[in-house]
Amino acid sequence: MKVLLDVRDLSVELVTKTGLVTIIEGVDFQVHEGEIFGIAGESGSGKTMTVLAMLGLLPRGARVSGEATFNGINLVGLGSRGLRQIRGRDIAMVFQDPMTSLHPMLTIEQQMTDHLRFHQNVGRSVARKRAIELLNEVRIPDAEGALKAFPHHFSGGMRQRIAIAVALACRPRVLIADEPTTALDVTVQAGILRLLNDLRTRTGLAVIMITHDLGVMSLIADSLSVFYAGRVIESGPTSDVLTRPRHPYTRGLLDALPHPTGAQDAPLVPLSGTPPSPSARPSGCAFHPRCSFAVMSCRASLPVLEQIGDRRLACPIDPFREAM
Amino acid sequence: MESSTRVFGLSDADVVAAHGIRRSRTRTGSHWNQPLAVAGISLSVAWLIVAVAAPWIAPHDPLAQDSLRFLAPSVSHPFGTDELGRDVLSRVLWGARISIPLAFLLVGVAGIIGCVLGALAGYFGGVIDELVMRAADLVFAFPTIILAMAVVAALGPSLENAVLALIAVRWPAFARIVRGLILAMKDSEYVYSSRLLGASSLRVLLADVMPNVAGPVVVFAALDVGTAILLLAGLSFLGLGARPPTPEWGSMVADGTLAFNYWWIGTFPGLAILTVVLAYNFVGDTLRDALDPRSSRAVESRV
Amino acid sequence: MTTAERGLRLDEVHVEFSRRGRAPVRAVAGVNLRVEPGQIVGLVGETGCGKSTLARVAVGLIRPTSGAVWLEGARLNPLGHGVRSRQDARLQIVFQNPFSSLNPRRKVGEQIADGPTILDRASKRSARDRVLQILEEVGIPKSAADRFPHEFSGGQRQRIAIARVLAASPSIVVLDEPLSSLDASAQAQVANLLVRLSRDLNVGLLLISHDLAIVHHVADVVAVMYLGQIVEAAPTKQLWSVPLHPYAEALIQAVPRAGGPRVLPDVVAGEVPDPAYPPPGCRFHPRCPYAFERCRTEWPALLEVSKGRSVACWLQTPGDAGASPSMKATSHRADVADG
Repeated sequence: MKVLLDVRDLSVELVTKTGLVTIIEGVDFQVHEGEIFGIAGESGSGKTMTVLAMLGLLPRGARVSGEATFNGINLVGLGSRGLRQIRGRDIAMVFQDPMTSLHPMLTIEQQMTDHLRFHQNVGRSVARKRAIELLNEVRIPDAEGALKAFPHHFSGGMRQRIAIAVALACRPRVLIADEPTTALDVTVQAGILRLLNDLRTRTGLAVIMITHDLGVMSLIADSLSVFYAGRVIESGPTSDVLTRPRHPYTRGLLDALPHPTGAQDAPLVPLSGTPPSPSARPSGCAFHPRCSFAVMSCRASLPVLEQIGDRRLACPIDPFREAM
Repeated sequence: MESSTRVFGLSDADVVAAHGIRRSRTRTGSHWNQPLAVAGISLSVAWLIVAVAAPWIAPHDPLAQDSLRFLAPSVSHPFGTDELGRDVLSRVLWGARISIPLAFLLVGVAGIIGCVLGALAGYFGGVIDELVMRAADLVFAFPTIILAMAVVAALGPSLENAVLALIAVRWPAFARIVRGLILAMKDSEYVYSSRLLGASSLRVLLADVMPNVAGPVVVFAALDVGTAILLLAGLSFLGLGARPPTPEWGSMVADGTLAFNYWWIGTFPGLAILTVVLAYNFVGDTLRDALDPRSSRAVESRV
Repeated sequence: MTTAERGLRLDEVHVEFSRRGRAPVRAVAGVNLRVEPGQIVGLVGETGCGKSTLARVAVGLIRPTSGAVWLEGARLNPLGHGVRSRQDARLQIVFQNPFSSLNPRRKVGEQIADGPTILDRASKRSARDRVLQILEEVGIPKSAADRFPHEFSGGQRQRIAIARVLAASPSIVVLDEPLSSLDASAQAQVANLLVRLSRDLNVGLLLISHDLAIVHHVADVVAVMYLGQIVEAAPTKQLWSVPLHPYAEALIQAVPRAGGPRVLPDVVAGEVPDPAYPPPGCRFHPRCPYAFERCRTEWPALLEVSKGRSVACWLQTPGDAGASPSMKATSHRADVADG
């Protein structure tokens, strides 16, 4: 499958009053056509930072280095002009809260056709027709009526569908979805996940799915990268990573979740401690203070993301290595 | 509205932890060490001392017309003399004895009336709320100074009546603040929790609501002292407050406008008003920053 | 009044809100629910099902439009202008947001001491002792008593809120989405705490949540709510292994499992209707894949089908072994075809 997005050694540093703080470092991954690529991690792990860095949406004072190659062009360092062409047209994004990502004062038609006309320079009626097509694709009943309505007329699930339709207006190759279903009811979530899956099957759309919910990852992501303290610490095919996790952090995350068929009386085992803030990052492996397998070298040196079969792991200890 | 730190995934706790600050402090120390705070407090304390000690530190009797008229500032009369040969410095110092205590009195009484009425309106709502708020609206409909002028004119110009008029005109501001705060708090979950734990309405008002209300009210009162001094001076300037020969700053400025060539007559009282009002404004600002246990200014200055 | 009755009982509770110029909304439409001391009852449902309203009426913050709430055999007096009685105060609530449920300007210890001070007229000293004891129970350091809520994390604040409620020695505690505002670690810690407290102190918990995974882990009995009504109630394991109501089935099936198979759940057709205009007959029928004629016209009551299990569905009959809706639907169609 064709590689649409190739990210290598992506790093973001932030200039603060007390000095340079590294937000993400050495991030590598590839997204293929028709693939749903998962980025997992807790809040503050850098997962959103990564995509914002690629799209040039970080505020002033942020320094991005590394490569993010899309269609042969490196997005890092591409001026704002170039990025504006790509954003919305080739790479689009939906966010967690459709209430704030859709403009409350514009009709659905306006929101959907504005950037369509900006990127593709088409007339109003052509844009309108396309908008109706899109609303049908995301299964909004009565698309014509919907165009005249405002976001507050719709439920959360519908608004998220509309946000997806808006994002797809210019037929982007990559859709970035940042916690798209976190704020939705679980049955509504099922609908949105199905929609994303259908879209990638039918149109070859690649989706970058960012969420902390490992259950959602299991349902929809083909491959998964787990972030911790701004670095990728494990990646590979989703079912592999989540059924046979090898990094202690991934393992800890899974153990902390209530197991649907597990012993009910056993208390949940949360990970001790909290993820470090970017300005207070431990030396060596950022996870070592919370890791039960840590040894001296974990504190001394930064683990490298090694390729092991179809898995990548940043843990030289590899405590859950199966007997091969 | 999220602070810039949140965009980067850093939580407030992260920032606080990373920079080792507690929220009640800014980088250079507590709120009270800030330059404006220090200036404000020293000035207001200095003026309070002047107000108390004027009889002893004033070089001359403020009402004595002994000296030559219109003397420029000199060693014997650092602020010169006015149109009746009175020492301007002494008059300015004695003026503090008038303006500052009256301003405190004014704010105190207006504050108490306003808080009580506002609390009743906010907590009980209904008819009481309507009555209080309509009365307040009536006052708000007019510019403060115009309304005060009208009241004083009706009662007869005198310093006492000026104070009464200003009390009548200032209490609604307090009432509105307190009512707003109480309305916001009435339906908060911690109030419901207290009531579910058996607290009576009175207990809720005193133990749960007052601590949240006291802070903003004290801040507003501090800031209002400056306004009170200005309004009092304003009324006196217009001839509706202090009667001659009372050394009230506003009337002194008024006298000064009649003798522009002799600039010292009006300028020094004017400067006095300026410095006192500024001082209390700084104190009010500092109080506001210090009293809020979650002062966001401490965090904003970090990144 | 049954003297032997312990715990909380909601008896045919309806809550209707009138709206100016629009149809009234019946947020709770006939709920019967029991919570025994020491038992954890989970109430799950999605947006618009009325569970928050139910939480408030259960604890007495809202007066039911009809029906009644009973606590230990005595009718609960909704909170009015008067002071809450000691008896009624044995029913308490923990709110969702730990940032707004504690007074930011009062010390933690003071707030926790409210219960003993007001309700039991405890002296300053004994109230203080109780505060320290409770803080230890919930795993918060004793020094917290002299600090302010904003100095603590979300998970800690929620534990403080629980401590405040426990200090009043309640027999039943309603918790309205207590874990939703917390991060994963804090959720796990607070969930563990709730289970332990319920067992140790013999306090009944009514845990209202949209997070089915946590409810499955923590609750003894789960009730599923849809559009103001309870459509199924059963012991947790039984509900998860064979849900009997089509909505419960869809709901449980839709919950993703980490490490589970990559099979997308079936989507429930349609959207939750406006509670002001509920569908006739069974409220779920327009979205139900198994609906038939009776469902559209007659409303199914919540009936006990086997010990401890009740369902509100025409596919299920009392006394009949519970089988999944799809099986029941097939056999029902077969029956109808046979005539």
